[in-house]
Amino acid sequence: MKRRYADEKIWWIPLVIGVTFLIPLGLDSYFTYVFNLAGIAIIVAVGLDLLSGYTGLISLGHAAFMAVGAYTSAVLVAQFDWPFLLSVLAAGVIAMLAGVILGFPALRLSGLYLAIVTMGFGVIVHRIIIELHVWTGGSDGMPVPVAQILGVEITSDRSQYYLIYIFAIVMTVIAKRLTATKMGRALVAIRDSEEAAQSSGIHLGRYKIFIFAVSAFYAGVGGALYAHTIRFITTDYFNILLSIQFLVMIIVGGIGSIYGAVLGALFITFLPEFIRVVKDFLPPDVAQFNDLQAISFGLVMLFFILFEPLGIYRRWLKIRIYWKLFPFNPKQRGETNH
Amino acid sequence: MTAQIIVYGISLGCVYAIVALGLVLIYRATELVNFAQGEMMMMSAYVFFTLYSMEMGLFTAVLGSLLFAVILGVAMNTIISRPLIGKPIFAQIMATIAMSIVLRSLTGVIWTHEDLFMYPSPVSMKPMNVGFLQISPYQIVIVGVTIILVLLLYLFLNLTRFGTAIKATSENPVAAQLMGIPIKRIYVAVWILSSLVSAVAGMLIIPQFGLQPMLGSRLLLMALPAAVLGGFGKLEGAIAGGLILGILESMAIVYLPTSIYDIFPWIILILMLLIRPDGLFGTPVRKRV
Repeated sequence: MKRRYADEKIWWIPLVIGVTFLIPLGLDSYFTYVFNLAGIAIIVAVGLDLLSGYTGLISLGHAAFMAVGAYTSAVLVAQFDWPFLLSVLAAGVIAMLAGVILGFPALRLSGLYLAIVTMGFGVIVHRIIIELHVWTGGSDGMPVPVAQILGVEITSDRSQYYLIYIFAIVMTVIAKRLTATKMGRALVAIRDSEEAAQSSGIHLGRYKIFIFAVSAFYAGVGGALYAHTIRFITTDYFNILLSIQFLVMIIVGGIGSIYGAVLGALFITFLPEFIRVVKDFLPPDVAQFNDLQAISFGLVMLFFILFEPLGIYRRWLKIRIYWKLFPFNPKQRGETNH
Repeated sequence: MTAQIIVYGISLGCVYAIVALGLVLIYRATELVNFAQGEMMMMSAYVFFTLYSMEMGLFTAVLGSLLFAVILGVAMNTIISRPLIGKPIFAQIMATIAMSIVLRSLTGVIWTHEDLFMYPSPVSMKPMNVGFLQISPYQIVIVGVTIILVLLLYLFLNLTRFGTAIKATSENPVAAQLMGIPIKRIYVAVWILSSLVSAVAGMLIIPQFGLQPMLGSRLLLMALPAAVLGGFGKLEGAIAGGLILGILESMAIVYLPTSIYDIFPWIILILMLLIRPDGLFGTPVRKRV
């Protein structure tokens, strides 16, 4: 009998996990912090990739799911003294409920209209959080207590790193396995042709709402971790630009691949650091930091959409295939279809 | 009181309608939703503002702004539209969003992030008594310009050969091309047209809103619901949607608590999409398998 994972090379997975746990040992506090942000971005981006990459439903509202998660966890810990791990779970579940609610319009809409509705969802969540100012502090923002697990306070950047990356690795692996199940294949079928999927007996409504819920759960957990890492949250942070950033991560990484989403999240989170280095070589007039960052962000986004729509991960696969076949490469005939 | 609110709503709605018109023009021809429309409008407005405050005279300033809009339209067509026609809608949306980010931050670099206001406004904003209503010359100009613009657009699209070619291309690009219509040139023309239309909107709103790099996205957030309300893809729908939204918004400001009125267009939009996804004027599209 063929073993379950026989056709997949998985030896490198423990290697990557091992390296992940060694990384913070060689980093100062600031870069550990940036890695922490990247880890949170990985969780949200992987969730978004399940929704947008695999199922083809565009969401411009993932920052809002993140906000729901962040505020749920912060309020539960600060006002109701819930233990941290339970509140993270609750954050995911509440975000998931929001995802189910948003999933209903998604049954009737697709493409452009869905993008617009999810955008509106973001605006509405923003307003609701401000209206609940008794708990959330409204537009002034809200301080978040330190995460505590079994009485141990997670304050240092390094301990936060391990907390975040345990979540990130577990959730990435779950997402990867999910895509290989019957359910994952059904989602891809929906993306490629709703009519064909329906004709093959896939219940469109059930799957769409399910994937909205899962994706929102990921964003909610990411938001909760963000809240306890930064320790101060404002509604302004969770704006539409943040939602766009997550979409850019999955585009840059390679839409419709989980590992691509991970690479994209790392790439986009470290982009500002890279620009910070380049900035020193520019004349001070040009180097107005925020604008420069936004422009290069937009240009990177454009570059990938126009010239490398399949992202970093697919480029890597192409290079690997090229060397595998090396002296006998077939002649390139235009763009290959994936 | 109510009539007064409606007057205010109409002048507000006219601006939304023009921006929505620009969106729909592009969408009909290229099936691309331009999330950078607000930024295009805003940059043309900034050019107008700069020329006007350099004492170049109103006419030169308008001309300069329109010229800039033409260049911007051509640039958008070359960078965004041409490479992405026929690509998945996801890529198109993201590309125009990317462009809006680039344009917005460019605006910030060139004109700084401070609020700019136009004192004195070229048109008086002081309300006059007309019958039992109070109307300012500024509101009359907005409504007047909108009517002229819509009329011109209508005449252009329906009575000239070029306009007919644009309509044919929107209807069916393949058939249009087979009839000898140079559709690439048509696309450039549509982008220029749309950019000009939004430049007009941009110039109209300066006295009321001032200028700020976030203005573009703020207006797009009103124009998008307006276009959807009218059933994306119908010019008359965009105008009706804009007016309805403007009037409803000005009523919401007065009658609803502040906490609701800024999410108000979205609530209407979501309800609308749930009840009648094709908009007020849209016809349901049946997808062929």
